[in-house]
Amino acid sequence: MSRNSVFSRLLVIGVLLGLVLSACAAPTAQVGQETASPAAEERSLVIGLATEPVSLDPAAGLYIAEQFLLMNIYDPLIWADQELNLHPGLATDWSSSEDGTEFTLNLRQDVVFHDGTPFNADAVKFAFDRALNPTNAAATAPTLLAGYVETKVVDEDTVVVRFDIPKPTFLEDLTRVWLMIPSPAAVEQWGEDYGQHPVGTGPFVFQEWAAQDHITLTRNPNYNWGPEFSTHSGPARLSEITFRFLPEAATRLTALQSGEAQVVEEPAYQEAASLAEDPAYRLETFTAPGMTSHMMINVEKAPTDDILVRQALIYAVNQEELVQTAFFGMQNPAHSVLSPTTWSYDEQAASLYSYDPERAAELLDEAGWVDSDGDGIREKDGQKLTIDYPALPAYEEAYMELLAAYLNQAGFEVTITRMDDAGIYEYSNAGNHNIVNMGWISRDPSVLSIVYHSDNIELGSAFTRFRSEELDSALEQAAVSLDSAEREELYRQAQQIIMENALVIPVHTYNRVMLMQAGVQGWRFDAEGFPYLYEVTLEP
Amino acid sequence: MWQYLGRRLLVSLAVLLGVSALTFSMLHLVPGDPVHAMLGRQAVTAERAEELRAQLGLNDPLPVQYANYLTKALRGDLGRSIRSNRPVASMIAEQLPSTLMLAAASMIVAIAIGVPLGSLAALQQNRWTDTLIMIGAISGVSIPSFFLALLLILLFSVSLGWLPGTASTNDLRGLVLPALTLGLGEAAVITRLVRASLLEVLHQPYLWTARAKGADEKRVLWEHAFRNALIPVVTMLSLQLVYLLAGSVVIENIFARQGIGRLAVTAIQNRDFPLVQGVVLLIATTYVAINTLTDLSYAVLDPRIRLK
Repeated sequence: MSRNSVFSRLLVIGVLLGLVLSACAAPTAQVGQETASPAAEERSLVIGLATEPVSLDPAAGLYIAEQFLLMNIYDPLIWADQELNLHPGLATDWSSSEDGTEFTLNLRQDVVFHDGTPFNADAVKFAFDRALNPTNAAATAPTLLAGYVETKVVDEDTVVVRFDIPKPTFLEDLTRVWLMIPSPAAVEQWGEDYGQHPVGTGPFVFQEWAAQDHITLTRNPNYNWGPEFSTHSGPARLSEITFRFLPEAATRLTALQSGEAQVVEEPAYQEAASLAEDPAYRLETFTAPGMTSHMMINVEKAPTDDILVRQALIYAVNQEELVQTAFFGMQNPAHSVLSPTTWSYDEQAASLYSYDPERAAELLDEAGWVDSDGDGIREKDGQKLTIDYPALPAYEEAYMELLAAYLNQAGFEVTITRMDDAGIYEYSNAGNHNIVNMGWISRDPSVLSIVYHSDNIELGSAFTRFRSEELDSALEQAAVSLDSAEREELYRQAQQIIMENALVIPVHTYNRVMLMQAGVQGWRFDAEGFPYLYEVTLEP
Repeated sequence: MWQYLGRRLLVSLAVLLGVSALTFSMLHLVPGDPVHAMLGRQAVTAERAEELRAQLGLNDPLPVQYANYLTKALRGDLGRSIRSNRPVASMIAEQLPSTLMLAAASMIVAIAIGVPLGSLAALQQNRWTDTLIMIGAISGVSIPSFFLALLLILLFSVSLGWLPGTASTNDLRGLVLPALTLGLGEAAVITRLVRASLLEVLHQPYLWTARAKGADEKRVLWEHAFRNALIPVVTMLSLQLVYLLAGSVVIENIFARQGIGRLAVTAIQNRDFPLVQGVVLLIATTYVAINTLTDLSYAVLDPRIRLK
């Protein structure tokens, strides 16, 4: 027995030693707190991103995560400010032919890429020719360049871009990241791997990409061609930016609190709302233009083939309350198919419906749907008032049950089926749904065509299955009209047709939410809500 | 012994072949057209879909596709990611060190805590030390790792500021909290297993024989009891190691660490089939390798197996 207890003592010592050793692994230095604060021009920023980009090749880009980085590495030919006014970028001035098929751009002569390659007309031609055939099958650039014929190099500093169709939005499209200009030398050097070794002309130079960990950019010391609307000229204020990929919302918040990051995107809303009341932090939000997050209502499948039922669906939902409960007020309620920050947004279309449960009940009574057995669900001819709702939890988790509850109160029975992206596409494309979620951030209302033109019912994403010559022709004309007043009028018409026919239940706008330390100054969102970090400074 | 070894290796090879056939057919088992399944809701023209199909070699007959896949895989060519267009093998190679580091570190934490505590509990059976250790072990098993992770981050990173909650892989300080999170959970399992296993052995008659033959207590414990008690523990540890390799995705996400598990989950979410295939093949190969090594280690630990 006594030998046993000697052994036990040894074990106790072993256990203690183990614990002490694991505690020793912890160094005593404070995390994320600088010992001495460096000069303003030498400060670096850490930004916590939710999603990692896939490729930093503008021509291969498709996803939101890329935009954030691309616009700080590359420059556009034309800048857009937040109100979408155009300003000189790599092009000093521009003109277009009367029929809107030819664009002449005069280029800056003092610009060099990060690798020393001079920026000139050949680089522009190279970029556009290349963007037509991207490495990524689903990239955005070919869509923007639809109808592209060629880019003619007139001289070193002049190009003419030609299309075989009128392109009313081409100058505006040039402000987007997908048509920014990469270094032709770097593209040739890296070939298929260019997306991991981007070289642009922008305020920050790409340094390093450790997959699933971070991307580091450093200041471009030669930068002297920033947009005229920015608050300073010359190189960027920050010396270095590190983008950390932090997939968990909770982690992004703790990283901000511990000082490991100074800015985080999409923090957990509830905690972010309370943290924003602390003067040490600041929230920056921006309501993106384009389509709102809304439910497309199928007009071919019963019971939503009846306009009275569709109207009742819209009246039944209290968006103001919904965004408070689901998003802690971090997203705005939506009342139309387009967001209020979109050019040509139509106030009249947006004021057609507001939460009115009595009106919803009247409409359903009028349509013959009544609750005869007192179970809260309305019936007609022995059929229950059932709504088929295929949902993608990644986007809709926050509010889908809540939305169903509002509809349920009005007497609908809602069947939510959770599916993945491909499943929802297949299900909705076959017309099996009654409502399905849609949304699209865009600088221009022209995205409406992609999901509301009847040509896209069979093969595309026009899930309302609504066929109207009036709507189709408004969308078609607006896409090619060179008269901006006419375009605006046509898009207003389109919004009215969509809302009058009760094709959508608007839910919320897409707000970009960034939480940061109060010392981060000079924050600027671009026209789509992506931060442009050129002017940002970090006060201690 | 050699016969045993040879048989084990043959079985392992057969399993690997089966796994490669399964990962290969994954792309074809998905309902619907693989190309559309991959692209999801994205609008894509028929022309682009055809390009992608040709790129993936989907137009060849199935056996030809499998043979191509196998020969390429044997040469270490696992294809290119659909999404990023990068070689799958190098994407995996980038993530592997971080996963191995985390697995090794949490194993060390688990063994350093689990084996001594489990032994102590067994030797002090039914005394207060035993009770205390078992309460600790049950708590350790019961606390979900994501919760423990957040508690550790809040304490050591946010409140005390001692350790980073999200550090780059090359910053070793960033290894401490994730290794503790995983290691503590593992330690609890190992503690209970060592205790149970040792208790069983301690009551075996051969220990009495050893003592009767005059062996001192230290020798009885170290050479006779421990060695046998460790066999189930070794099995457990090897299974845990495989689990750590692929299953630490929650921890990798919370601590924003590089890793194979996180790579796999992202690949699945993106329907990046070549990447999913590559990761599954790697995990399965490691699983088979570790299992084979475990079986071989029995031969060292247990003479009865050696003799068979």
